[in-house]
Amino acid sequence: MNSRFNSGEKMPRLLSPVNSFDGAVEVIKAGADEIYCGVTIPGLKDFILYRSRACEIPTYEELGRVVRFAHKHNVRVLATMNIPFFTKTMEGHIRNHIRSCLNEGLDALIVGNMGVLSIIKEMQVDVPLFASTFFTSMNYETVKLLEKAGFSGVVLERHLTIDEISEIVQHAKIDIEVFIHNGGCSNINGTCYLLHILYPRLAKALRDLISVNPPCTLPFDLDGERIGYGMTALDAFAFCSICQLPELIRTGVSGFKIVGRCLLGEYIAKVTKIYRELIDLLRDGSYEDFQKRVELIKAGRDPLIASDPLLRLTQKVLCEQKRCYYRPLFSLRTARVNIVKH
Amino acid sequence: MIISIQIENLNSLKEVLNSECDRVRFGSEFCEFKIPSLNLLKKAYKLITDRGKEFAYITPKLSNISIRKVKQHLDFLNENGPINIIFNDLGLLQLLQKYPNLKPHMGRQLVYIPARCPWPEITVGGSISRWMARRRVEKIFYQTSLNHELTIQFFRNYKVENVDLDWIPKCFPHYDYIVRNGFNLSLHLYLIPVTLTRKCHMARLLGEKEPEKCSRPCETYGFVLKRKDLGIELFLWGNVVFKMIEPAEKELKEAFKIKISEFVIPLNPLTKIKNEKEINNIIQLIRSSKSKK
Repeated sequence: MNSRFNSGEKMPRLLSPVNSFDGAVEVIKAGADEIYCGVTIPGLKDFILYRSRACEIPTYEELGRVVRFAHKHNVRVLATMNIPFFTKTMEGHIRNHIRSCLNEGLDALIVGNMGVLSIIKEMQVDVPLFASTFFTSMNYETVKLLEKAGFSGVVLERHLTIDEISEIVQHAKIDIEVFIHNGGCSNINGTCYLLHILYPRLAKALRDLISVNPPCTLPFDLDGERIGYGMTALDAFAFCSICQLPELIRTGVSGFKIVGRCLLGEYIAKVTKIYRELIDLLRDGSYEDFQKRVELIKAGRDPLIASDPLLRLTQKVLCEQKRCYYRPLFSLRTARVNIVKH
Repeated sequence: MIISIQIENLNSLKEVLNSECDRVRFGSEFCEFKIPSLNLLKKAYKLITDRGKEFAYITPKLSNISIRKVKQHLDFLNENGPINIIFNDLGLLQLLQKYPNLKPHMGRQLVYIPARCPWPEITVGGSISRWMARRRVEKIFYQTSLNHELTIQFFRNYKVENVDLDWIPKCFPHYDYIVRNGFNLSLHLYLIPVTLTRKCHMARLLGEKEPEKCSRPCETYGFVLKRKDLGIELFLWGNVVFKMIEPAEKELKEAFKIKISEFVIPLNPLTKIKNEKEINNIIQLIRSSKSKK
């Protein structure tokens, strides 16, 4: 299907998440073109819904170290404004936070809310702004609105097909980025309220699953016209884009984003290295080598994957379950078999 | 204040038209694959306006294909305006700027409210520092992404004057801020969307193969999702998961302390409101609560 892939295609930047200086060092060495991070907002430390503070760079001082190291290696650093909404109560904290982040030499901001965008404009901040996935950009008209609003790039919603991405890119005058690995949510990111890490019973239920998965992977009992017990009815998460890389590159997107601000730097570095090497093979026109490498990865025999038991296990299971990004919308069958009629 | 009934198809339109509602919201709020055809929209528009009810058109999040489909609907409705178009997609807001007779009305999916979270309350712990942390979080938890004048101004620049919000009584004091900053408020009763997918959970569960050919089981039923250990009950209806809060008279009185422009009663298999009598009972409850405030 992809045998006509040619070298010389425009290659997207590879963006990796970091949550510490050590993580940034590993990820940059692994080949990330850009890194992105959240930074703890001092006045809003108690307001935690989705991510623990361990997912953020804890201080501006550490952010500064990350930026200096990244710039030394010609890597851009983007900071994401962590909160998908913005109120009067939060304004002072957010203003100080933006100023403090920029003082450390950040290259761009990822923004998920029109209120935050408005104060950034008011502050006359001179860095590129990227529209976060919280804007749920699913069509070219949304991208047009975000461009008019002042964004120079948009991160698309995960629940799209490759054809839809391609059409958006064709219409767009600004950068379009897509997620490619980890955390391909079962639900639309900007409208999902399932995760609340401070609710103890939810935390216990997730611990009992022995998983780091979000609540959409929990089994539920279903009652209605039909009934079912212990069914993972809300589980439709995607995980990986390795096989689709050639098609995704052809869409013309500007950036490939790895998800995982809460994950260990060592793991993110391995994922980054795999994608770096695969993208480089395609850049060099080595499609046959790319295919061979993909087959090794899927079989769990790739040296990088094989050296890490967790990576080997998860990749194998996820490949078997076809947890691929950007596949047809109803293709995942996670809970159908157990259902019985009244 | 007006009372609206929200429907997706013509199945219960007769009962709705016979009821005492003021407005009918027609269309799909959550699923782009349930957007009506242009012919169905024209038929619904005629039936509703012929009976002297106000017509509003509600739309979900949209893909490229769906936005082109909805554009044809806007062309038709613009000729018959002014009409409120409830948009849940920023792309549609962009498109609406070209239609002088259509009033952009912001849907609830574009307003972020942490309190939609289904898990009870915020944080636990008995220590003073925990208690103080809880107080700090509460200040934010029940607010919305419209609780800032710059956000409101951004949308006003796009001619938005109306906004849909949910029936979450603890949020009412913060809704008041939005009204005072110039937005007309529409409150959805009963169902609060907790999460929404494009990979429709119900369709996958029931073995539907393609969105375009979906047999739409959600038109006749939904599921209750239960987990005893979590102490909650959620409702799966098509591609949305809801939590439900029944409107009580006491809370309705609280709601009337803020200026609410519209109450929205959804007719779907989860609310189990089916006929004229049941619709009128709720309308009576709302109206009587207003007179007793």
